[in-house]
Amino acid sequence: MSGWRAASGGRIERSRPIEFHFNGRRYVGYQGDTLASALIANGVDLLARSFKYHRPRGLVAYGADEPNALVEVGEGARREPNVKATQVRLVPGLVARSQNCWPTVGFDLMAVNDLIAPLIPSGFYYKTFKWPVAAWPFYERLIRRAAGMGRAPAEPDPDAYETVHRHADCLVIGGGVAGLAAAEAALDHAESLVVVDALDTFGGLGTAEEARIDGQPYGAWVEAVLARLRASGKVTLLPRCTAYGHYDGDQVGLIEEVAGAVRLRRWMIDADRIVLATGAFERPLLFGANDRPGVMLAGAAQAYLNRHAAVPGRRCVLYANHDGAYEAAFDLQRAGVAIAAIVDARATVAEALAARCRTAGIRHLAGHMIAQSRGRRRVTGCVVHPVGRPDATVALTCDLILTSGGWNPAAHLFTHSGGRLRHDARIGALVPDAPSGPGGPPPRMVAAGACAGLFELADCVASGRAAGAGETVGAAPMPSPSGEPPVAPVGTASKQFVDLQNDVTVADLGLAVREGYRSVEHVKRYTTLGMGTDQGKLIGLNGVEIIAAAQGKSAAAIGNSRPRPPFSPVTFGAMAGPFVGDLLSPARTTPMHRWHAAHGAFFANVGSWRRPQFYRRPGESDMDAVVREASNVRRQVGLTDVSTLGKIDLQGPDVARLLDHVYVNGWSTLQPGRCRYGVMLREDGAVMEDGTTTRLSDDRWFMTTTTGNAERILAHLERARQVDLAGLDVTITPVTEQWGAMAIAGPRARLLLGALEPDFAIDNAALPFMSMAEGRLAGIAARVLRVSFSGELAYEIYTASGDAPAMWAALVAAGDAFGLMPYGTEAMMTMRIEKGLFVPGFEADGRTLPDDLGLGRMVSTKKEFVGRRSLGRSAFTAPDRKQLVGLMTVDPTRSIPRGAQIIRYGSASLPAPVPMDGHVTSVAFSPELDRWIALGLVAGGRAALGETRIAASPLTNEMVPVMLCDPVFIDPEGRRLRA
Amino acid sequence: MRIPCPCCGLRAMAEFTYGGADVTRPAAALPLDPSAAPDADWNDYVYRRDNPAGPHRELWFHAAGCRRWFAVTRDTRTNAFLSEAVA
Repeated sequence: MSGWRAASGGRIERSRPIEFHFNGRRYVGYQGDTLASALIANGVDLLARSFKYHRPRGLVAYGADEPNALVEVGEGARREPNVKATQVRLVPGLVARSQNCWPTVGFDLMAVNDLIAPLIPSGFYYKTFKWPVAAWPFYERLIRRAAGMGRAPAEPDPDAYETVHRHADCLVIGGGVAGLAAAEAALDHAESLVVVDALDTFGGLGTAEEARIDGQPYGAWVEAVLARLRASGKVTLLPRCTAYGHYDGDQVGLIEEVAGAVRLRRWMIDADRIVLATGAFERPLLFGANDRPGVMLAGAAQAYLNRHAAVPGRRCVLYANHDGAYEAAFDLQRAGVAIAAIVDARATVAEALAARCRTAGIRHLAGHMIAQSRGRRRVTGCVVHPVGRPDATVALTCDLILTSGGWNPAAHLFTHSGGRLRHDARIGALVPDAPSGPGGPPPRMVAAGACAGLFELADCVASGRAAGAGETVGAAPMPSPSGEPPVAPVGTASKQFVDLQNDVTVADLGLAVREGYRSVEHVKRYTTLGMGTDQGKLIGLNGVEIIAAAQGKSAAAIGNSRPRPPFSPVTFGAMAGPFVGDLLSPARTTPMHRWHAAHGAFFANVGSWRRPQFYRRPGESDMDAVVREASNVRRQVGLTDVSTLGKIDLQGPDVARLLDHVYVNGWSTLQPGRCRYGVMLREDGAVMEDGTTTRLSDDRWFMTTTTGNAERILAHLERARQVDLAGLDVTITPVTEQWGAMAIAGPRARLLLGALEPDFAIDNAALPFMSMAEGRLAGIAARVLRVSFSGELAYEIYTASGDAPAMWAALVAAGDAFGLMPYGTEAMMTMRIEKGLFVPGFEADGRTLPDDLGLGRMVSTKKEFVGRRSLGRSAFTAPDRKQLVGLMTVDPTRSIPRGAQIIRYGSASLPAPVPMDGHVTSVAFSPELDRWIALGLVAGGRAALGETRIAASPLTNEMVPVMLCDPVFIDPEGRRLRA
Repeated sequence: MRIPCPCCGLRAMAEFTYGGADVTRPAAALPLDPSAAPDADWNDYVYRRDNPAGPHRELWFHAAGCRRWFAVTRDTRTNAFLSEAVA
């Protein structure tokens, strides 16, 4: 219990106390606190247990770099795991809990892992749980339970999320001094700007209150710039907004915390220019047991004090290697903290600074390092010795150790989409490298301020202005003020944690290198260095330098590992946005949808469409319904909704030439009023699509496509018109939505059509198979195509979408007299399988050629078309190609397993893999034949009709003897079609 | 990422469909004789594609827009569009 609240200062509102609960206990903080600062002020220093050894841990950092204080926030459906206490704003009624500990954070049984730590070095799991291989799932379950990183809520997320897409001329990430300077400079160059900052307020963290910019006090300067940005009308200011990823095409993903009906808003911003002014993360210095609660970054302690008046201790040792860190000690001393000593790793420190320490009465140990912290659940002191003389120890008493090893640019976003970081020894930091070589396009992402390795206030302002104005920012950071490269000595003590979240120590990294790992990326994965939810923001250069030293190399020589998105964890709800439930994917419904729903239709998703699968009557099984519907089409007449077919209107004198190019068969001879079936290929010869195109008049045509291919075929036609055959006079218009369509099929279809009193002739001579008529039907303007997908006498009736329900109702009303029943996609599929008609995606699977489907004679030899040249390739004419055949079970009572492989008799006893002859593509129970039938693709199948094979389905453990037969099971002469 | 449509200007990538490399379709010689066009030429056209780290000439289709197909040069390293699109 070391933390406390200073009596004055900070940006908290002391008149607005906020009650909250942590680990079941009630505490009080203030408006303006984070969970972290409120816990400090309440004297809570044990916040978590570490991931592997379950060592007690407290707060280390102020922001996204916090490795330890992962908590669960909220309860029930709103419980969120793995949240950093530093990033949780204190709100009334907040409930938070420690995670990764059992039964409590104070008494954690798994802490036994710490005692056996020597037994579980890096790679322990790989080394120990290798044998036997089959037992790994068992081990994994145990390990996962022991490790655990919080619990995800089991209930659906009750909160609302938004997704916003925006374009901006300029996006400034980070609203500190450099970011604000950039935004102001960009006003003259950009029409739209977005400026974001993770904090509630702009102005940043790194600037002292008494600093002056352009002759103004820092605070006044910030307010003046913000006022100018707001007044310009060009700028969107987004506080509480964190950029989590930089993606292809300079798209940046951001999460904005929204107070109100929406919890989080995800922004995807396309920006022509991105200024990265994200500042820097402080680098900790290492020593033994540097993970004890009470060890904290100097800048973090300073921020807790200055922003929240939360003071993390009463007696402090500062361990640093640069001048800037001293300010933390001076600030804390002013607030009433005793400074036990300032330990500086540098041998010499500027006299002015040493004098300030003397004036302040602070013991100053230059050229010293901390070897080890003392204490158990909280720091009680530390052991210090001169660098290089571990024997001359000095013991210091304290409850707070602040460390600062300099600053490392928070350049994570810079690397997300290709940027490289460069090790700059002069400042001991990884800084964004000049992004592209000569001749390359100008980089759109530019770093400024501390993120560019510029730590002086004037440099931050200047680099920000340059970046905002679109100038190239020199990637040459200033050397450290003392002119010497920083020193970060690493002692020999055990338990010097480089990665606090994943419990990776200096010794672990050394072991990995001794075991032969060299690349930083490999050592990282082997030891899990930097692979926690904090992405190792605290590790930065420490890891690189230790791995380099273990190999006797320089840090610059071994490179660095590359952070990837997200910069900080993003909750699933924010990624999903509003697109959940019914909004997950838009559903397309036909004009007759309501009728279907009211008449017992079961809907299937076909692409984005909802189509009736079958209409089940009371007492029927699904199968009963399908059999009834299909039988009724074969015996009387059925009605089905085909509005989902893709429909394309083609006009112009050159349509026949376009069709000749995309279809395998010829089109110029087709007379107006006639329909023709056509097949389209890809350039590699594979069948892509089939459908019917009708010539309405000399220069007007009407194409229908399969439901799932509508968009693709439109693009294909446009490409043929605009690219391959540029200059054709054809206008292509998609009219899928404009036309409702329904098919009537069955021997009594013509009688039904006649009952609707068409004002055009429908007899077999006037309207034969594959012809078209237009006129009024039931008083409604209609286009009627005599085409069939069932093998029966059939008509497709097209009307304006708005008229389709009325036409449907007229058919249903008139159909009573003819035994009309509606039928769904299942009955339709049953009948097309009975007719041996292929469907793209089933039989035409992207490898199937026209001849494989028995369509070889359809292919024109007199003209060029897409895919023609491929058909002549030798492999495409081989006799053992997989060909479309029908399949019947030898035992008519047996069914055929879906997706079964076709193998030869006797081959099951061959050594695996058993040679496959082919596979089953579609299966149906044929009401007409009263047995199960299937279509399949079988090697050399057409020459083997009458032979038997085995349909083998290892998944269902079935081996079913089947006979190969002609794929047309019903009416092979097509008499019914033409009746 | 935004793509320069020659008809509509810069539009969001979600409106477009990628059409692959801008390769020229070998002209078919009539009468059609499979041996007339060498296998190698056709093979290159159907299957072989360069995969440059740098400028790449490619086709895009403004599917959710004006339905224009156009060719444009994109730097595959940066996704910057380097040339004005041509229809």
